[in-house]
Amino acid sequence: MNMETGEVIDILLVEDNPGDVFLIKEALSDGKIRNELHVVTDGEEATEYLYKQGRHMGAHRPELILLDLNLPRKSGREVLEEIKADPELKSIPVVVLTTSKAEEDILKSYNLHANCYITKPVDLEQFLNVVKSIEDFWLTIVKLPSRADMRRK
Amino acid sequence: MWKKPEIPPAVNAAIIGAMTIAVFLLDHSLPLGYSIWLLYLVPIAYAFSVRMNILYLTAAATLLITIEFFIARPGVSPSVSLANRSLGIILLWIFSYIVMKRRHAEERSMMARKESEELRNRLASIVETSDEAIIGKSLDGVIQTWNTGAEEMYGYSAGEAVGRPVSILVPPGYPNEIPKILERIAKGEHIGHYETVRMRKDGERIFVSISISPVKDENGRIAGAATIAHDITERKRLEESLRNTLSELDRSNKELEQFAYVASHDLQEPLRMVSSYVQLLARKYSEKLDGKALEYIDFAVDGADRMKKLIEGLLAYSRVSRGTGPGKVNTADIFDGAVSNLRASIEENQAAVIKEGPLPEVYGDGTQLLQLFQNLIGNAIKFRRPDVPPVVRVSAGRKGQDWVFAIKDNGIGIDPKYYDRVFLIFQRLHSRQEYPGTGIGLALCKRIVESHGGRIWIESGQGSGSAFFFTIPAQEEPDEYGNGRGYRHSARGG
Repeated sequence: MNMETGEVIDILLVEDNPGDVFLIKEALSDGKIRNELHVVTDGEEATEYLYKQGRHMGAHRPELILLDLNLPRKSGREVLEEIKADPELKSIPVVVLTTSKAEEDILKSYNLHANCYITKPVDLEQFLNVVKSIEDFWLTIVKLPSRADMRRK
Repeated sequence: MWKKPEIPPAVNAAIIGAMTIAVFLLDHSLPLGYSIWLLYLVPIAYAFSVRMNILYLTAAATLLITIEFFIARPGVSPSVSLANRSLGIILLWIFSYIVMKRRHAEERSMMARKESEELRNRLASIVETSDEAIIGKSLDGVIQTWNTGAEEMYGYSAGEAVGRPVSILVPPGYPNEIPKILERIAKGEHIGHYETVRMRKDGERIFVSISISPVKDENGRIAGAATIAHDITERKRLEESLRNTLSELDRSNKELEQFAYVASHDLQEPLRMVSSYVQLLARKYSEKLDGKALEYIDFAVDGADRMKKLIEGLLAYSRVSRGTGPGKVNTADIFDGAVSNLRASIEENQAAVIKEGPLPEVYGDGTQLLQLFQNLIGNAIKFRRPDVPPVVRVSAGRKGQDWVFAIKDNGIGIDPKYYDRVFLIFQRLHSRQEYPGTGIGLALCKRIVESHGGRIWIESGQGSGSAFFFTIPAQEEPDEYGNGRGYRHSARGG
């Protein structure tokens, strides 16, 4: 949708581990799509960003959210719950990207309407591939509601 | 009633004899004595009053009256005399009969009174010596009787307790349920085994189990209540300590689960960082690094990878007790699942995994059994001889109450001296270069088999392959009639 216009796609990354932030940036920097990765490091800040509060006054509504589950202050589950309960935000795809393989985390995330759940691979190559796949799938293959449509709602 | 005469029986017999003879002589000497023989009633009455048998005396009087009929001087015509004497004899017997009847009734009632007295004494001594506190109280809650059990239990003596309200036993600040209970008692209800708290004289609180029954007076009206109290303080204390232990166990289980979660997430996170960044280093700076540096990086990555497998293995081991829950499981399906999960390894090793004969349906946890089959078959493929393609045979047979499963291979086998050791966690028999692994797999198998109530063992000879055996009780889910045993063979697969 934005390919034609060349518009920059906003991705919100909620991740407290700087190592992972760097790796995801690394993976996305090779991507075909021009994107702007906005990083927040805890659940509180994620909500502030999404509601354009505080220092995120001028924030753009993201097209995709990458969400870690274990976060300081407010957990990823709570953030997910808030997003999916908000009529303005719930259409934004949320990709849960976490270390946990626990069944209960997976089930709970889908019950909270996560759009998909991905366990971070240990192997670097696989990790980079996974992030690229996310980008490919959600930003080029999948058709999402356009921003204009969203505003009309 | 009678006064008990102090006269000895011999004297009484003499008196009666004398009186009888006197009447006989009087009868003999008085020719006109129409009814002299009625005086025989006097010795008979006397005999009765001293509790002697009056039947013989009556018989004797009958005899004497008859004799006199023949030998007495006739003052009246023989027919009148005969009529008189016959009437007299009849009267004597009627008198004797009535008197005897009366005595028997008296004796019976005496006996009954004695028995009831004995019974009462016996009951009283049971009540008195009972360890239970047995308390009688009026319908307005005033203590009327108080046994030694009550003295022991509550610390008040009978003298202190009797006459005081039973509410002295209710601890202050504790709802006094006694009036309500007495109301129910007054309606004739029985209150059985309710547990409450009571206070001893010294203020100590005790737990008691109390039964209360209405007590009726002789007119059948409810006049009071009898309470039997049993001290259950010790039992309560044990229950309390058991509850504490259970909640402690529950808490520690929760902590363990929390630990498992931490292991799955928080331990892996830094590990992933180490691994990823060492690999990133190799990728981005490979031209600046020499061969040695790249080799170091390989070791670091390998170490991180092993660490990850260890953590995952530990996690699986710690979670065996949870599983997906028991149910009917067809082990033929489990076998297929394990083979399918191991496809990559089977193809890579050109292995043959053969199901020999049918595999039964068992009662167990499907996820765990899949893990068990997968680990054992996976091991059988892994520990292959380098030049021989692996062949793994899986079979099951019934032995008594158990199904015995066998997984046999043609691999390197295990030295019998290690048969027990292989099932210990982190125990390995080979270097990682020869055969990679964490040393958790078989420990996990053992834990799964044991959690199903079975056992696992090895039979093998060096070089001729290994045979792993394990048992699962052939016990179905208990049916609605409570019959837990009795397995219907389902000959699926094979």
